[in-house]
Amino acid sequence: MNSFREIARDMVFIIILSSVVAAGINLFHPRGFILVGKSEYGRKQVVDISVEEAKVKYDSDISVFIDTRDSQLFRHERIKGAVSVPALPESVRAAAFEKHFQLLSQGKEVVLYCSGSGCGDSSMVADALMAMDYSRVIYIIKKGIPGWKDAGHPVSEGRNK
Amino acid sequence: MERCGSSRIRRKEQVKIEDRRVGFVKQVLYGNSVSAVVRIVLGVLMLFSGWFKVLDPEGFSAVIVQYDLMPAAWASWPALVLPVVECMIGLFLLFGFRIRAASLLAALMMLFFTGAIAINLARGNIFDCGCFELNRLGIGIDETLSPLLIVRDLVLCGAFMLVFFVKRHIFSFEAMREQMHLENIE
Repeated sequence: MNSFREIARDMVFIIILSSVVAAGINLFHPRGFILVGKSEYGRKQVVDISVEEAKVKYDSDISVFIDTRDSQLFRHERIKGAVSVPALPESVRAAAFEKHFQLLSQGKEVVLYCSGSGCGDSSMVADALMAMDYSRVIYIIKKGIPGWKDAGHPVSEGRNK
Repeated sequence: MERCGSSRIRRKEQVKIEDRRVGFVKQVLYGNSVSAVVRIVLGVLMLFSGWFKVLDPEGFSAVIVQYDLMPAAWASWPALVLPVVECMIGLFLLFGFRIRAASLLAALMMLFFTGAIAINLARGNIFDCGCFELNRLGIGIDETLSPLLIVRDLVLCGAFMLVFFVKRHIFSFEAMREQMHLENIE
């Protein structure tokens, strides 16, 4: 009986020790889990960045820039190389996602922008991406295309890319 | 008369062979080099299988979700802890520390995995079991759910129970500690 108790105690010891070690590993694991609530997780997944940070991503060619404004505004003016995924209407957005699916599944970072800090288009597209089980961090240029233009970064105008 | 004599000799030989067999089992259960090798091999197996899962918690959580035994949102905690438990059991068995607890825990885990596989086989689900991840070592073993996998896990469960019932473990920390204790008494 005593020996059984001792074994049970040791088994509990192994499980507790493993749990503590696992929690420690998770804190430093590059692909560890984020242990926060669901709403908090959504906020953690979407990160606002400055125009300068966006330019670094632009230059390193590791990101896909997505214009979330109306398609007319996109045709008029856009960040050079960006693709259009309008936040509304939903059907156009879904079609645009389908069109650019290949681009999104290449493992590149997603950088969204709209008309500035007040516009909600980027957040809407970010929500739609998360609803599609997109699990990577989504970046939003806080000052949008006006901030990008003011900094003198490359912009395309007119119909052709 | 002669026939009677030869059958008696044959019977004696049979008894001797059986004695030897019983002797071997007794020796293994008492603790000899065979039981030590079994313990060390099982330890290395658990250590490797746990380690590969530690490297990819997201992948292992996807495997747990496939078994469909709990809500998908709960899968991340076992995906983190189970591989570390496997590593711990592996280390404990390898170095021979808290062997009985480690082997019993491993046997219970094997029983649990067998049950999980059996349930999914009964449901008609077929996918890679994500058991030992030996493919990562270049050992191409098919780990798709099948009755053979249940047999394999039960055999492993039996092996862990064998280690559990071994009385003395040579080449182990426990044996070394006992030896030191005896030397101190002397």
